[in-house]
Amino acid sequence: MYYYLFDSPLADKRYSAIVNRIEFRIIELGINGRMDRLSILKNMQELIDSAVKHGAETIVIVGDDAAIARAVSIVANYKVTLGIIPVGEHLEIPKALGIPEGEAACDVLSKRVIRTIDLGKANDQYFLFSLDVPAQQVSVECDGHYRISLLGVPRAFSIRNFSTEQHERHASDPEDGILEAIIGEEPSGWNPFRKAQTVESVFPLHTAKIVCNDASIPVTLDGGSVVKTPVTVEVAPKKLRVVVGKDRHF
Amino acid sequence: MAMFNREEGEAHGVETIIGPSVKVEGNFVGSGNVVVDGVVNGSIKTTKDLRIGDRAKVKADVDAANIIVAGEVHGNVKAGGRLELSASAKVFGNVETSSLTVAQGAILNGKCMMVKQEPAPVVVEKNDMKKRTTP
Repeated sequence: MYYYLFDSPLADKRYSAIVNRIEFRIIELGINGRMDRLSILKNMQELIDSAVKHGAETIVIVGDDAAIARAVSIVANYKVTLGIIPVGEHLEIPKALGIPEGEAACDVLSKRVIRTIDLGKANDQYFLFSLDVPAQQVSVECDGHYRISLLGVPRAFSIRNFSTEQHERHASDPEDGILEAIIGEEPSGWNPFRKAQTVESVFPLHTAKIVCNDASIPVTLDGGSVVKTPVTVEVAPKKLRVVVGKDRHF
Repeated sequence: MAMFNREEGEAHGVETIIGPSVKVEGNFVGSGNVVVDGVVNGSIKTTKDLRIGDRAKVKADVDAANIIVAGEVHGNVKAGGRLELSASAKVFGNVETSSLTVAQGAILNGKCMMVKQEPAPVVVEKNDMKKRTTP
């Protein structure tokens, strides 16, 4: 059973045509199910909790990267499949998963090519791409065996589960059961497609504990939600069932 | 030795890179190729190849399949296969390997033990066994 959740910005008039086309294509393909729209009064966590309780097996998020990243963290707690229909301005996550924009994504959804991928877990929150710490003096205890610290000028620090640049020298694979700690020059803003030449150090790991000298430093997950240090990070292997397209980057 | 046959600076097949801006303390255990250009205190062990760059300062016992040393190592070095000391290498500790190459200018202060490389175990597939036993 499908459950469709439309992100709140899609209530805007400029998206009405694309939303109508998506709804029509869903019916045409026979993959229809209950539909809800996020709003100030309707919280994503509550709606997904309720949908799963009522038997939904595939939770389909219609929206952009921010909505998808929030949904990943919620859906990962259930044994359900995540579907994505990308609509909006920032659509890097669906691009990495090989899902085309708009109603074309309905066809991918109906084909139901499902992959079970790893997620990263920072404290109690899941992330799909990366955890990022801006240039700071961080200290990281890896796999309980060794500690990494930075010498001289502070460097940006990330822990990646999935890097989407296919030809990157240090690409992270979301199906290998490991995370990669990456130390390099500060990237300009969060971008899962950032260039690889900034990378200076790479450490494959399963668990890590990150401590910053300054506890007020924001540690971001997938460029969105913020967690406080110290942060305990671990890989959650095969945690998310997701419908993918043939042009996926893994 | 796939990692060592490529040009200097190229890092294909490398899984761990300890860069010049990084210090590692503790027991590093890896299962892939490792490149060290920073500081390591403790121990390094990997089942694959290890390259210690000319800027690296290692105070650790080192154990890998094949090792190239261009930097400074204070500790024992054990290579199951080949050990190569570049001209800029400074090793203060004992070395154990089955194949040793020392470039002119390299410093080795320690005992050197040459051991016979153990041949890789021959795996006979089940199908092959059947083929052999079938008349």
